[in-house]
Amino acid sequence: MDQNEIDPVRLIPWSLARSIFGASKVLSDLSGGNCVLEPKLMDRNKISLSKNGGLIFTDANLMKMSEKGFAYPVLSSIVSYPVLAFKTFRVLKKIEALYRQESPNIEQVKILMRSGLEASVTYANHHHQSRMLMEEEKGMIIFSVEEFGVIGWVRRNKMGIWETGSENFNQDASVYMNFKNLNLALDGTLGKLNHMVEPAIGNIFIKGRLPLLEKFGFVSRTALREIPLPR
Amino acid sequence: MKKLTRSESLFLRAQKVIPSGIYGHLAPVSGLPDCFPHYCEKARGHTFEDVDGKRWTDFMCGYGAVLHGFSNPEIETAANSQNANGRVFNQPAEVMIELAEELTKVIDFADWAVFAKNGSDLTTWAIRVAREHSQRPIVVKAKGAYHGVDAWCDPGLGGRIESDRQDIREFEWNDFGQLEDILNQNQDNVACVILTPYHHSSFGPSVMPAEGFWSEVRSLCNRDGVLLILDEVRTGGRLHDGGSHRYFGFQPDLSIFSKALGNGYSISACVGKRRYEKSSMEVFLTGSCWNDAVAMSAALCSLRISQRDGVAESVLRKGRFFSNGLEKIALNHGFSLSMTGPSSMPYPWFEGDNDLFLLQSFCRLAAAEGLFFHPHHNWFISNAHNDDSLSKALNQVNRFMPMLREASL
Repeated sequence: MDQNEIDPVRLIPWSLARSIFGASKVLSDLSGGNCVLEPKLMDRNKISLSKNGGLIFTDANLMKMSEKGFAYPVLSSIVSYPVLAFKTFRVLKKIEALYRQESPNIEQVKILMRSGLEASVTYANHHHQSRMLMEEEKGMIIFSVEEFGVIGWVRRNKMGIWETGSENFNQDASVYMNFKNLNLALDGTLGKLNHMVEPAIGNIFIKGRLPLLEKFGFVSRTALREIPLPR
Repeated sequence: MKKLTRSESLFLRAQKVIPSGIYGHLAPVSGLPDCFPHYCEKARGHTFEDVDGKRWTDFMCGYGAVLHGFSNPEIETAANSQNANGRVFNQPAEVMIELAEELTKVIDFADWAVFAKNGSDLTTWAIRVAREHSQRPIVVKAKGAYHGVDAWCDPGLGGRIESDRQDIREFEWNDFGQLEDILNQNQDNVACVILTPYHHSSFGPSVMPAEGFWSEVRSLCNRDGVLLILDEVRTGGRLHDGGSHRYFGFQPDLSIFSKALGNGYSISACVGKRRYEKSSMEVFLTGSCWNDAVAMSAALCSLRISQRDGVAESVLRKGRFFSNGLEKIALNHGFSLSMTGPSSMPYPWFEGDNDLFLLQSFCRLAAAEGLFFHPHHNWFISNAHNDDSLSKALNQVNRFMPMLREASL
């Protein structure tokens, strides 16, 4: 395991924490507020959801919280930072609700897309097989929805790190993936689409360098299979 | 709501009972699903008709499996004649011997031949023969080269474990230094080097061997007692009727053929030198329908046509005419286009179009004209093409090039 890889056992909760961060970032961007979350990997199987204090979960409880909707954080983290802890809980509940919202809107799709992309790039950067797969790739993927525009992007930066964002971008991508409508985009963000079938029936339009998308798609499916989503 | 085409309806029906509907290199997502048909109705010569009745001029030849044109009458007659007597029996038919005799006659270094159904069957078998012969584990291949669907080499991403490739080493095509380093670092451990006659990776330009490449590879293999295996699955019959090694002037130890060998009938063959025959007998080889006498009859007929008509030279000449024409038309419209690889199986490459946007647009416009050009895989010139059909295709390209200019702005 090289220095950029994370212990496979800890990678899943860490990707989940990054995924929550991604969603909260778009959530705050859309509402014009400050993003209170920025996760930090701590010793002894704990993850702090904010950089400077705030809620801390054990790896196991963070996973449980995503799956079941509730789990106890480390008690001292609430006691030490009650306001930040409360704000964090509110953000977590908002994100959870978005996973249950049935009729999609563009904000929801952007937030969940970013959440999924954050988890995927965490795998692309730190998961052994995924790193190997993405090692020789470069460039950018832009995801969009017909009539709504860009909902997310992924690119490899100059440092060789895969990163993601949601804002419109003035850079040419290597490959573009365009969903026909919001429902399809929502299903795509939740990993419910068949990547081999939808492009063939006109629900997704792809152009550009396919191998990059194919590899990132594989990494993304690996991440989504392993990381628990809210039920 | 848009009415579904028959192609789309069939695909929707298929994906309920077939994973992905269509898989592998024929999967719609690998091409241009918005303008390529998903299903074909019939094909003859250099044209095919999709299930919606649209007629296409073909430049893919069943991804190389057809050399003498679809449903070539001579080959169909040979196949039908054998079929009247049956095709798979408890014992092989005499045609199996005739086919092996023909291959060992046509391919100068070959003393024996074995048969299977697909290229992968025999690329994998051939590396095992090399391992048996040398009693060494390591296989060396070129990075990005396709040799089949088995775990040691497949381009897919799923179902892999690290040990699948622990004895595989890769070097950049044309980089002798890298190859030599691999051989030096793994002395007495390399069983074989397996290569295609030229580098035909997908999604990128084809690369011909650099000057001296093959003689260098051959001498490195000789130096270290390493078998040189030539994967001719895609190239067989298209560069030289006696094997592509003759086109490039060297001699491999084993060669594998498939695709064009049966002109659409499923068959593959591995031929080798006498000194590897004993090892070949130690490596188990069989399959349910591998003694298929119909496919063997088709292959025999296909080989004889190639010899009689000089088909490799013919498709190279037709390809040159077509490739030169395309490059000229592109230039007239302000595009720098290179038809890479041998002219009988060219891959177009627009200068600077590394992400293939321009080539994809080009192939979309061609599809609207009924020209089946693939943006991600090398094309194939069929011997059923003639100067008229190729000139007509060039005229069609000339007509839509102004639209490509507009699309590229």
